[in-house]
Amino acid sequence: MAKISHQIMTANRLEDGVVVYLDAQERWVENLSAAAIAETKADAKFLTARAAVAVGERRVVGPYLFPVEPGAARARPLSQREHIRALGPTVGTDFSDSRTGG
Amino acid sequence: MALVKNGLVVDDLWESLDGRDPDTIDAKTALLVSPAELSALGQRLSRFGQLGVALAPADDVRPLAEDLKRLALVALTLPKFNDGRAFSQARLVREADGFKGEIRATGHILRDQLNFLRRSGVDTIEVPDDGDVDSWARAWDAEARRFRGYYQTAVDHHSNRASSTPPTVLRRWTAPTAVSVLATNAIVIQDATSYAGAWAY
Amino acid sequence: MYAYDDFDHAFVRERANEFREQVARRLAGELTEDEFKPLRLMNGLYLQLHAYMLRVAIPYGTLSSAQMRRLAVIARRWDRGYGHFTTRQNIQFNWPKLVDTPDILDSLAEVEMHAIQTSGNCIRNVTADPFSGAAADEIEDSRVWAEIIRQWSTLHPEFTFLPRKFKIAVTGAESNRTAVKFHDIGLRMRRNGADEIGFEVIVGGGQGRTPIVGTTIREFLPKQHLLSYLEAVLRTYNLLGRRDNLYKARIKILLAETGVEAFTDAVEAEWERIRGGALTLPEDEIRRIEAHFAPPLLVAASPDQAFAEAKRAQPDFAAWCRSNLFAHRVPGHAIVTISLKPSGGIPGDATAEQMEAVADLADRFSHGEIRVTHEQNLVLADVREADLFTLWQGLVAAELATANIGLISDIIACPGLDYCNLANARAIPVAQRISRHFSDPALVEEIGPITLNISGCINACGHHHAGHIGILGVDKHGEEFYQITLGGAADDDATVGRILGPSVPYDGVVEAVENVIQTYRNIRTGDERFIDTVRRAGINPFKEALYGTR
Repeated sequence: MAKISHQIMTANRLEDGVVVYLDAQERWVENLSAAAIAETKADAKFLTARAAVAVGERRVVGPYLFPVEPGAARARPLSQREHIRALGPTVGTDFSDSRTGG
Repeated sequence: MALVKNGLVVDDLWESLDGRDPDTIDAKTALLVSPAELSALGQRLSRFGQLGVALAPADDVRPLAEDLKRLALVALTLPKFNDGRAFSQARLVREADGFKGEIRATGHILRDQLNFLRRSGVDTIEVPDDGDVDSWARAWDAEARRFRGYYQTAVDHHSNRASSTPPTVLRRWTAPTAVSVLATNAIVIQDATSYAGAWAY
Repeated sequence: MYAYDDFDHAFVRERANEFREQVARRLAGELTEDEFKPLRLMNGLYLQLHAYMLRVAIPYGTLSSAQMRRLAVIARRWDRGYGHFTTRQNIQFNWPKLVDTPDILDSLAEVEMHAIQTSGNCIRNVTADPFSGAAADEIEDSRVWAEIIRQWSTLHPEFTFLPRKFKIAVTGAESNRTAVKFHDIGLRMRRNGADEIGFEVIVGGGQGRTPIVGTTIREFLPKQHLLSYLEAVLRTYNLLGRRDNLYKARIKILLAETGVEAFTDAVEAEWERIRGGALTLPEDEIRRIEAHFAPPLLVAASPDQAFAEAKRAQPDFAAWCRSNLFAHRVPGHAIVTISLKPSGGIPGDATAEQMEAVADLADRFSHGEIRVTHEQNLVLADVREADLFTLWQGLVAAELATANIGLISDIIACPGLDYCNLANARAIPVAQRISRHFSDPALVEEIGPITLNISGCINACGHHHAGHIGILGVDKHGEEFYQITLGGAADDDATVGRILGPSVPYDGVVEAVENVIQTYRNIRTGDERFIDTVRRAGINPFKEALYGTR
């Protein structure tokens, strides 16, 4: 089991709604594997504070932390919801985004 | 608190009873009471020239029918912007026989709701604590002008019902020539006649 | 269909301008997200799992070919080349940018469309019979009344902040194709003893977490009083409906908690106060709206020889005719349903190219008009028999000729966890697996009429309660499970389905459905329909077959 303390900060970009993640350089990136992983409460608090600033600057909306299982190559979301959110719909057409997260 | 009445900034001269004995209050005071106080104090309030009632969202308007004839103010509250009971309360008060007073909306109001409030019969709003009074006054006018007509009758035309415009049902321009029913009167149109000419169809 | 006049055009433009200003205020920081959210929802703009989603109103599911082409343009220019037709006869775009939405609304306004009241706690898009004006069993065109209600309810000052959303459906035919008993208000046209036409008023139906079949609170309402009566119902609900609990705020809960009699008394008392007043519809006003829905001039024709010959020569065409055609009031014509449920496809989705193909076919064969059904399919309502074969060939070319209307692969599904922020489980991939499993046309036809509805959460947008087979996705400790119900129905014998047993995992759904179908085929008598077998035999035989006789 992953420790619940491993978390990633996500949100939607205000202008276009695209799913974004907060990386270690405090940039909002579309690629989940580039996201910063909070391993401690202090990390999580820091990401939350940075997200609040970004909300105030009207860059993103609805930020929240979600738990991940840190892998060797990339973090894996624990919930199906975040998995789908990172990879796009699983409906098997060519409609989904080509982003390669998760 | 500041008020915007029909788009103008005015002072709030009304006082709540706040548990005081009404007999000790100057009869010239504009006195605002609850429905319970109104029914409990009855005749003792009749010496006040200006009497108003503040309704809670759950209060039924209809038992107040007789009282409304002598009331100068009904204050309504939106505990949160999306609690829309005040809209129906306003409508019932405005349609009550003999009521000619002010209907005031207080509480959590969004400027984007002003049109709906006005069209339900509200003519005064209490500006929210953090609000800039002048911008709310401007918003009142701007929102009232946003649409040139509406699809349904409402009670917003009470204050300038000078013309003999027949009530219409479904919509339309201000023009009395519009025979259609789904229509109604956009108020605030400065000159209904010339406006109607521009949009006759 | 209804055509805008100057008033309607101006109104919709003014509403689009208002939204443009609201978006600008949001982007400029004058509105926080908390303040903006109710405003964008009032214009059908959601923030979903991956992106914003814009729900565009298709009033009572009627579209012109020009409007359909515009939806294709919007899909291509501002979305990802497709759109999703919904169970409320609307269309959703899954990927618009917030900054583009004002332009999308302007583009819609040009073709007399909008997103007004497609969300929020207001009177939503009024739905109607998709076969209106064409059905052989029709009393009156329900769209006339849906349009009157649409106009009256648009930006209604008093009813825009109701306790919860409010859905109205109208049907003017004997057959109930609009699920009237599962709406906040269902209106059903009736003739009374004096041969006058009016409405039976059904209130308090709904799905969601508390599925309830609506109750008739008035057997006959004369037409001219429709709006005053609706106002009395809405006012009663607005004043008395619960606002303390989101899940108990619909009118169905008020009706249940107040009791039908007391609720009806309250409505009738308010109606007594206002009836005969400003909302009474004059006859000429009704006729003004009616004129917009004058049926196309159709010449009755005797059975077409070439049509009969084509059916003999082309078994695929014949199969499509058997499942996708419905009786038209004019001999020699048919109502054509176009399936948006290909094997393995996404129920209700159409690409921009398909939208354009349907628009072209509508122009050639059905007077330029298209309908959307609450089953997420499309309808061409007035097609000559002699044109059916050419039409079918056009549909084949556009990959729109699936012959499965009313059959097991004609699945209703909500967007589910693939798109929706509220969902607990996926619905579309489940539908895709089931439709692939049941892709043999002969087998599907042999199974016969059945509805299979899938929802990805308890909000029941996929109408699982009303499916002969209902499938509800639930989340069990982070994994997708599916609860199966049997015996639901949206028609006249409206029924809420009964839960069959413990939920099954994602990978077990197809097998479970197959098991249910096998049981049905084993125990049905003669050509008994699935729903009739369930009603006759109850759910126990299905339960035992699926779970054993423990």
